[in-house]
Amino acid sequence: MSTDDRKVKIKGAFALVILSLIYVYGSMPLKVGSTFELGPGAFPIIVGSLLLLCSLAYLYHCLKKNTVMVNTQTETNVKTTRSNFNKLEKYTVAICTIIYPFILPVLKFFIATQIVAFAMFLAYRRKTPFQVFGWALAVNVICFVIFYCFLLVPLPTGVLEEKFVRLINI
Amino acid sequence: MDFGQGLMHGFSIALQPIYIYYALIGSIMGTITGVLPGLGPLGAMAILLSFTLKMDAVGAMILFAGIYYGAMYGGSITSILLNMPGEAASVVTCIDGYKMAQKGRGGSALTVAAVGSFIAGTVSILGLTVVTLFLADVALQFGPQEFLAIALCGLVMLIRLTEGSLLQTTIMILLGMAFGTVGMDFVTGTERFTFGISELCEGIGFLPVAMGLFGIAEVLSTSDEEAGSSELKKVSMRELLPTRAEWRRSLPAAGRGSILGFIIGLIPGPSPVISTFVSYITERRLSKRPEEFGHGAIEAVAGPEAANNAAVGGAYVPLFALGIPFTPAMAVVLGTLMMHGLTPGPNLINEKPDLFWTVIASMYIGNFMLLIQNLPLVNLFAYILKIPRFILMPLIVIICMIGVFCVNSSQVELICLALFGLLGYWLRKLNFAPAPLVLALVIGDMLETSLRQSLNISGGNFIEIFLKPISLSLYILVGLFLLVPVVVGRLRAKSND
Repeated sequence: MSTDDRKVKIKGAFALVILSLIYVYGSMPLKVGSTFELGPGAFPIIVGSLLLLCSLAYLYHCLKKNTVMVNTQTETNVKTTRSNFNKLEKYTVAICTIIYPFILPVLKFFIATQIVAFAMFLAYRRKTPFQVFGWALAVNVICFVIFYCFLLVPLPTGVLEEKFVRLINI
Repeated sequence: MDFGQGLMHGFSIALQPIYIYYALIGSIMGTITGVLPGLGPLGAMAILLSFTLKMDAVGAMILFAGIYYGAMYGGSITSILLNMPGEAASVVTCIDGYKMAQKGRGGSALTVAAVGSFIAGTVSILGLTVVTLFLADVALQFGPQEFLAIALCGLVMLIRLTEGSLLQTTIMILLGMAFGTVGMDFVTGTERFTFGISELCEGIGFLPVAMGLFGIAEVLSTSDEEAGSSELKKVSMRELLPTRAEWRRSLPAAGRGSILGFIIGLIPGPSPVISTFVSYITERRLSKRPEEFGHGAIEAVAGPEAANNAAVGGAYVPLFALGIPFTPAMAVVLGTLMMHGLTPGPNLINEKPDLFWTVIASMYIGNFMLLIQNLPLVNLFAYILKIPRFILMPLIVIICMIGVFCVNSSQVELICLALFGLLGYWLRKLNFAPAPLVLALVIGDMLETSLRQSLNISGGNFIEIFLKPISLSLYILVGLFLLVPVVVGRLRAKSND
């Protein structure tokens, strides 16, 4: 295991310990009740305490020198490379999934989906923006037709969407 | 309704054009996702969950059964032709399947895998019907103590059998249970970890968790990988026919694999993966030509392929009979049933015989469809690997986001999707398998309910909970299951010294 991997694992283990502590702390104000009638806090306290114990054990395991971590990846997995392009793809996907819930109710389906689809296609394709815009638009329209027109899902609609529905007459 | 009547009734519904269409779509989608490396049956089911919202429960179950079976077979196509397992259960097929393809017998390997899968599917469906009916009758006598024992034993076995370290799997299960406690307490109505967000009172939705951990996280993880490229070996129709000797060697192996796979499918954990390894080892031990294993032995393709398909049928048993999912994929099926207002368990078979028998009948149909559709279309399915990543990855993310929004039009669930996507990616980086988390999210709720009810019934006596005959037998069985390998290992080590 490389030093970088070890650092990532130690950071992860610390994060798990903090998460468990927050969970245990959050379950403290809840009523534990008696053994005859367990309260709403009993199960979270049990789970939280066990989680904290296991996280601490994991942290200790990671901090130990020359530790051998079990690799769950299969041998057939392709070796990873961390090129800048891959980072761009990853960050774009992460940002798009985070911003989509906030822009969807405001910008409505077509514009919100077009923005995230365009950004993602551009990050993956990295070619002419016009071509990428076309791909994003095609996916956007297909998704709208499938979900809104055929599956009758109530997507947030505005003027654009209503005009489109009238245009295709479904 | 007895077996014959039930099955006939099931066929009368499943043979309706709409359900045949769902079975066809499910098996095609399943094969496609099985072919694509990384996106296994679980990911496919999670991503496509939203498409079932407008279907009835029977249609949704038929679609999922098709996806599950299809994905199991789809994985073998790329394993044999490209040495690239589409999903974990196909890793074993790579060993001898690809060697056969290199020797020009790839077509035979594919046919044997397809026929083996068909035999296994049929055997496991028969087993599923018989065992489920028996177990459901027994389960009607179960109280909260027994359900507590089943859930606890299931989780313990899951920890023991899941790939990776015990500690990491335990953390995943506890994290899943912790997320399961979010929402309103079902007894007192107290809000737990909702942070004042009213939408969280009903708990964290299953769909954003599953789609986040398996859809978004998968896309993020593939960004770290370099796209692999292998030469695709084309298979002509003539090559698909195995020789008489190959049939003689592969059919008994497929039969053994089917029985082994079904039994292993009943055990909690990644049963399809385990079953393939067990079948491979069994075939090697029983073979008259063990030296051929690893160099293109046809039994090593037929046995594991049959085993992983049979394990699918086995995995349905605890879900239908007890209402407890023992595999992550079954947790998705349970989530779907609940979204359609159905609670699986022993009562479901009596209250909704239509659903049970139609799903059973549709499994036969889906299995037959896989056989007739996959062999002629094998080259076409293998070409799916040529779909550029720049189309596939953004498309998966968009489907996940719209899919989650479809269920409750909830902004909070979309935020949950993003958070669980990032969490899933982070967990993968740390080599944590996210599947036990999903399973624990579902089982955790059941565990808490049965624990509180059991204590209530026993008057707060902890010992009484564990001493009920069925519960005690289960605890002893699991204890033996955990202890025997340790004791045997120690004895072997001593004898070696």
